[in-house]
Amino acid sequence: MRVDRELMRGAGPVAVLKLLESGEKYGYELVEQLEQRSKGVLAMGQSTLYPMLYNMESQGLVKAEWRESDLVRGRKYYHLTSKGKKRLAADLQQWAALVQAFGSLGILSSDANPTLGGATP
Amino acid sequence: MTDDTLPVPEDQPPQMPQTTVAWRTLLWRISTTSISDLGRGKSKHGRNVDSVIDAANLPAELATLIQVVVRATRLWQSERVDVARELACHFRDGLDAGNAPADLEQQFGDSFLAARLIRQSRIRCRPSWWFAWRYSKLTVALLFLMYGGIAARFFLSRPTISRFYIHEINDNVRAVPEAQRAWPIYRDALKLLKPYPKLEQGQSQELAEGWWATESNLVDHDSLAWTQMLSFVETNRTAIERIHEAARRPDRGIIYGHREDNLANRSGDYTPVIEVLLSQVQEMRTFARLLTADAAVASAQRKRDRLAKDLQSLIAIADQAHGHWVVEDLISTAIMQLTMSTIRDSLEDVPDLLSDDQLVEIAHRFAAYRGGGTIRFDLHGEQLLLDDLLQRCYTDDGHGNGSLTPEGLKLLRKLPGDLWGEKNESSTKIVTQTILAPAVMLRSMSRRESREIQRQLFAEVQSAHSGPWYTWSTWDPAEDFFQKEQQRFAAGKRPDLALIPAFSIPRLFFTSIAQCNSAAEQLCQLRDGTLTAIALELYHRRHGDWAQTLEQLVPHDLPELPLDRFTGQSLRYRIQDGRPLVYACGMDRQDDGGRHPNLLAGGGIQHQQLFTRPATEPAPGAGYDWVLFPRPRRAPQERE
Repeated sequence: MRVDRELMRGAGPVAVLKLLESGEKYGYELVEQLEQRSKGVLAMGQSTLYPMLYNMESQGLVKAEWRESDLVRGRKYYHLTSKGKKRLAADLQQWAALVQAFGSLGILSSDANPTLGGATP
Repeated sequence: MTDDTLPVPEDQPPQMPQTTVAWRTLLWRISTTSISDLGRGKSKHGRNVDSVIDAANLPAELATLIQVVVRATRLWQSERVDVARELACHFRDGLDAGNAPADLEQQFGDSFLAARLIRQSRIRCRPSWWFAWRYSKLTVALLFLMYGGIAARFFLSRPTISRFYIHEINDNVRAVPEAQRAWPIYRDALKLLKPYPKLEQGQSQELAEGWWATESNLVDHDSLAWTQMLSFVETNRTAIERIHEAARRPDRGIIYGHREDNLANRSGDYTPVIEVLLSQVQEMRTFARLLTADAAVASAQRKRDRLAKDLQSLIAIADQAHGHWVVEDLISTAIMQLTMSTIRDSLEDVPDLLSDDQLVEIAHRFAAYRGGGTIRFDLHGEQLLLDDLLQRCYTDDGHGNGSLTPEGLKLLRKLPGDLWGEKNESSTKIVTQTILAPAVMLRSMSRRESREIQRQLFAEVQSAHSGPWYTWSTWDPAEDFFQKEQQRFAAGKRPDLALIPAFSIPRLFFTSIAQCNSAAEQLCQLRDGTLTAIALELYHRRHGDWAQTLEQLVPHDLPELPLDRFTGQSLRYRIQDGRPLVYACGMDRQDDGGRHPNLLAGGGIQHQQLFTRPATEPAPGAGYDWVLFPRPRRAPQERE
């Protein structure tokens, strides 16, 4: 199941920030992990991911760095900044509140887990 | 972010110098970087999108996709290289993970949407100076656009001429029956008029300049000049009779710009008021001088009725000369002064010539001139002139308001006034002024504002000088008003240019309004002095002796004591050498015993100072009085 574009607009950045919380990653790695760990729900193509990363970079949430790889070519790695960490924490709180509210309305089941990677805010 | 690493395909080494040192030389970096990137402080040192894609060794469809996306982003070269490199790496990773090129292409999504999103997001990453520059450019462009709109509105605007004032005035004249109009007869008289005889060598130049008219009876009656004047008057006898006939007509009958009057070089009722020449009324002064000369001859030859007739016609011409404009009023005033000089000379030289009835009738006409009392120029024509200029300068929104037009600005530029500065300007300055003209329009007064200020100006000037000299609190109320308004505008941060529409036009004539009002005051003082002289003569005839005081003349010969307009008291009077002496104190307001400046020994200047602005100490005219009767004249021997 794929998430609607509008929903993805809100969820995508949180998901990417969350993935970067565990360490720096390059673009393809992010695409792969989003698809695999969300079971395809949060899968996004390059046309969505890279503009999102550039936007987050412009907001100072992530920082990019070209680095040599073992494949004799450079890769651009993204890692969270302190501002990005704060944003992630705030976003997770909001999502938790949202899930709780949805749960109280019976929209979500009580065992729904809003986090990627298992970390609960 | 650094971009020092470079994908280097094994089969296609990049074009670069052989040594590492050479590779890193600044010269090489500069020589291989586009000027636009150099301008942004970027160095791509030899790379471009194609080389990056080639280095990634991607399948053709993926390489093409990257090229299409990157080209569609329209980013800076360095940004494109960065994006291309990242996408290439991404596809390379996908291929290495075992994905088919077609699958990767499909997963990529809409290439043009991607390009648009990438562009938007990459632009947000640009440095702050770029945003500052971008918004500056936008702001400047917007300002240019706005100014262009304002300029278009300004340059396309045209004044709305809804009233033709000269046409309206002329229509009123045309409504008067032909038989009541004086000017057609004056025109005939002008055609009949013979010029003054050529002067003989050595003859006084003053005679040629019109002194013959004002002081003719002082000329030695045996002299050549007197003989010439007699000849001149007799030669023009027919013209004089025509002038008398015209003077009896009740209406002046001047049609401005009439084509039959070759004196007026502009024709047509639709001429701007400011361009109408008042040459007809100038000619009325010529007629008055001729009648004054005739009166001098009549006085010398003791021809009572002829003298009375000349005087009556002179007063009538003065009445007719009074018209719409200050210039006409000044000419009318000058004619009245000639007339009063003539009768005062007559009262002094041949006191018994005119009968009691003739003197009384002339006195009544003097007293009735312009309604009597304090004579003032009503500035009616000048108000029409301003209204006409406003409508020729401004648009009309139908509610009495409008904005300045190019034609208006051009018209205002023709007018004198120091606000504009030099008239002969360089073409560069003219071009600059043309470019700035719409801005001037924005900051200048609106039609309504301009009109309102002009109305205030008229009201304040007329109010400040409504009474005799001694009541004047300021000599130049117009200049006071201009300065006050300039200060008000300066306080409101409006430039002097904003004042131009309202000020440059009134300054045409208001700069001399004090002199005009002073001329009117002189006339009032002369009138009162002349009426006093006539009253003294009538008293003398009745009692066989001169009145001891002016109070004795009231109320039989004068309705009230004549006013010294400098002091607010009555005129000074005493008997000197058996003859009456009537005088006013002059601008110094001091009674100097009736001592008039000697007109021969520089006294002309002192005479003028009797009416001059009292701005200096001692006051101008100090030590002298203005003798009203007998008229101060040069003795014949002094003239030689």
